[in-house]
Amino acid sequence: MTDASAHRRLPLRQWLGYAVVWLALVAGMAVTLALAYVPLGRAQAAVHLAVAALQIALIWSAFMNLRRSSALVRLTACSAALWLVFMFALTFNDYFSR
Amino acid sequence: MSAHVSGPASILREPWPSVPRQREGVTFGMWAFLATEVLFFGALILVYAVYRDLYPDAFRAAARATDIVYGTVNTVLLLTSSFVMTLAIDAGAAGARRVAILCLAVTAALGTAFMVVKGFEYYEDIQNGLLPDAGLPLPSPMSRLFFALYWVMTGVHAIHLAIGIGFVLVMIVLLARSTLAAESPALDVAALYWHFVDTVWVLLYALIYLPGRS
Repeated sequence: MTDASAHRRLPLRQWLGYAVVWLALVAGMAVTLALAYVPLGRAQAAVHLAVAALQIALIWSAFMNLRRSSALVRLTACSAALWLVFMFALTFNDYFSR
Repeated sequence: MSAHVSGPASILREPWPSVPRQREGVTFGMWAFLATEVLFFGALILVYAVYRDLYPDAFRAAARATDIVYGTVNTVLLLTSSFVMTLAIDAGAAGARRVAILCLAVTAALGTAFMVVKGFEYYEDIQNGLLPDAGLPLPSPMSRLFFALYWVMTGVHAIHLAIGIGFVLVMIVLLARSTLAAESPALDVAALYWHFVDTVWVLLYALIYLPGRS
């Protein structure tokens, strides 16, 4: 079967949406890079990680399609975050309480 | 079954009863694997977090010694590669095999460009003595901890990216030979892996290159 016969319309409107997501990701990087040179003191790490978390949320929901995935797949993705929280919470609980 | 037939018959594999179930199954399987990858990289980042909490000044000085230009260029390359990978999947879903192949080739090229930039960065790092040993030109010996983690985290990430590039190249060959249908869920899982490697870099960029600049 040739490409032409199997060819349906390319989802250009959806591609535009992905381009907006890409622009948002690059803009997020530019913002976090600019903020790296602003003396924010102890809040600096929190700002960097907050922007990174937003970027990751965008990639997971839009590019990795979690927003259109089934509950099973979404739960599996959330389980990764849950175990990560356990690992960090239990380890820092030890370090902060010594 | 003919390898050249495109459509549901060539996509469906044992033991799945239908293509939607197969797509759901492989997506679930890849996410289950990615959950273990989250914990793998999470453990490294946890070590980084503990030591950065214990030695904040040494980590700030060490992060300032990294080359932010290389790091930023590589971030843009990977974010763009993820965008193009998404286009490849959509083109595949629309049955546009050649567009999908083109987008996958651009994705692999951007991934390779990342590796080349990383190679230049590693070369300069070694020239500047940024190794976790006694020769590290920074005042605090605790900065060695940062660079031990820098080499391990970026090195493991580069290995993951190299696997991703190989994965994408295999997809290109299979699509070009029409062994794989453009709508195959195999493309979806390759994309999931690729995007995950991208998200790891987004976090590494924030942890390695940004601290200590102000």
